[in-house]
Amino acid sequence: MDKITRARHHESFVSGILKENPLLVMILGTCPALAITKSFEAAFGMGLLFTFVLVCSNVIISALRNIIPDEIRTPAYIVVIAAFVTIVKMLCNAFLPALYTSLGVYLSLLVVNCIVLGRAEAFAGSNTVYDSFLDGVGNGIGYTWAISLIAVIREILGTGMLTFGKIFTFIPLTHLYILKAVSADGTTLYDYSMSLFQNPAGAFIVLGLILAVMAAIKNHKREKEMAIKKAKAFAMAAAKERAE
Amino acid sequence: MANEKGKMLKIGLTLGIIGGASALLIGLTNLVTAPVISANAENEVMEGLQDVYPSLSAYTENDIDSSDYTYLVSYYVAYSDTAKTKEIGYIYETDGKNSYGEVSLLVGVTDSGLGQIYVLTNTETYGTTLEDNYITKYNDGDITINDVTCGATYGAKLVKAECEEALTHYQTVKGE
Repeated sequence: MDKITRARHHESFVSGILKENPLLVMILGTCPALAITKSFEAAFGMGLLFTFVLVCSNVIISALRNIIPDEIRTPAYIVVIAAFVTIVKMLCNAFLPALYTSLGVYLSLLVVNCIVLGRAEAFAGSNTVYDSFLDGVGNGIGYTWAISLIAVIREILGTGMLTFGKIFTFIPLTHLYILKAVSADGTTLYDYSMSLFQNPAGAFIVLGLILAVMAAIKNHKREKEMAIKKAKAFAMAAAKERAE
Repeated sequence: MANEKGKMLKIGLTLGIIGGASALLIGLTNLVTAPVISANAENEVMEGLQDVYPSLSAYTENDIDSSDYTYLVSYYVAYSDTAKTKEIGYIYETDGKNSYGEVSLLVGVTDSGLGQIYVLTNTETYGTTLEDNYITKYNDGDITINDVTCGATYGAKLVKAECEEALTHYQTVKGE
C-alpha cells in the first residue's frame, strides 16, 4: 500500500472522530442526540447501534455505487439504510430489550438520520468500500463519544450520579454518586443535582456549552497560529532589512 | 424510445433487487430473533405479574371479549398458593395507543380497588418518563385515579382509561 493510499485511509477514519465530528462540528443528528442523552448507558448504546447502521449502509452503498442509477440514488440509499435499521431494531429487541425500550422511537428514526444519509450521499456514493467502511467507523466513534459526553454531563448534573447496569443488564447495577450521597439505609444525605438537565432545555444548554468550549479552543489555536505566522514574517522582514 | 425503456427497466430492476435482498435479510433476522423476542415478552409478563403481586405463586389466564372493551387484552386471577385456593386479586393486561406511541400495562385490581401497575410496553417518545413521573404515583398505595398534567411527553389519559376499564371489568365480574 503506497503512502498516499495509507494517508487517504487514515484521513477517512480520523476526520469523523474530531476534526469533522458529525455532531459537534457538522451539527448533524442533534434531535436524537438531545433526546436520548438522559443517561450514559442509553447514549452509549445508541452510539453503538448507530455505528453499526452507518458502517453497514456505507459498505453496501459503496459496493453498489456503480450499479445504482442516478435517478434513484436517494430512494435506493434509504431502502438500504431502512433495512439495516430494521435488522438492528430486531436484534436490539431480542438481545438488549432494556435498551430497545429506552431508545423508543429514536431507533426507528435512524432511517432518516442526517448523518447516515449524509455520509451515504457525500462519501460512500463516491469512494471505495474500504474507505467507506473506515469513514463509517470514524463517524460512528465520533458520534458515540459526542453523545456519551453530553449524556455523562446531563446524568451527573441531572441526577447527581452515574448509573450502570440498568440498560446493559449483564453489568451489575452500580451507582456512582457524584453530586449526591445516599446512606446505607437509603436516606439521601445531600443532593445537589438539578432536574433541569434531565429535560430538553438542559440538553440544549449542555450541547451549547460543549460547542462554546470547542469554539474557544479552536479560536485560541487559530490565534496562536496567526501570532506565530506574524512573528515569523516580522523576523524575516527584519532579517531582509539587516541584509540590505 | 428503446433507450428510455431500457433505462426504466434498469431502474425498476435495481430497486427491485435491492428491495428483495433487504427483505430477505430482514426475514432471516426475524427467523432468528422472533423466538427470543417472544420468550422475552413471556418473561416480562411473569416478572410483571410478580411485580404487581410479589406473593403470587400461581395464576390462571382468562380472555376478555374485545367487543366490550377497548384496552383490555386478558386478565389473570392471581393466587398466593400453588393449589389456587387463596385468591389475591386480578391482574389485567391492557394495551392502547395514543399519538405518542403504544402503552401496555399490567394493572392489579382487588376488592379495595386499583393496586400496583407495571409497564409492559411503552414506545412513547420518552420511554422512561411514563413510569418515573406518572405510574409511581399510583404504586404508593393511592388508589384514586387523578388527572395529571404531563404535557406532550407521555399519555396520562391513555393510562387512566386503561385503568378505569380494568376497574369496570373487575366490578362487573365480581358483581356477577
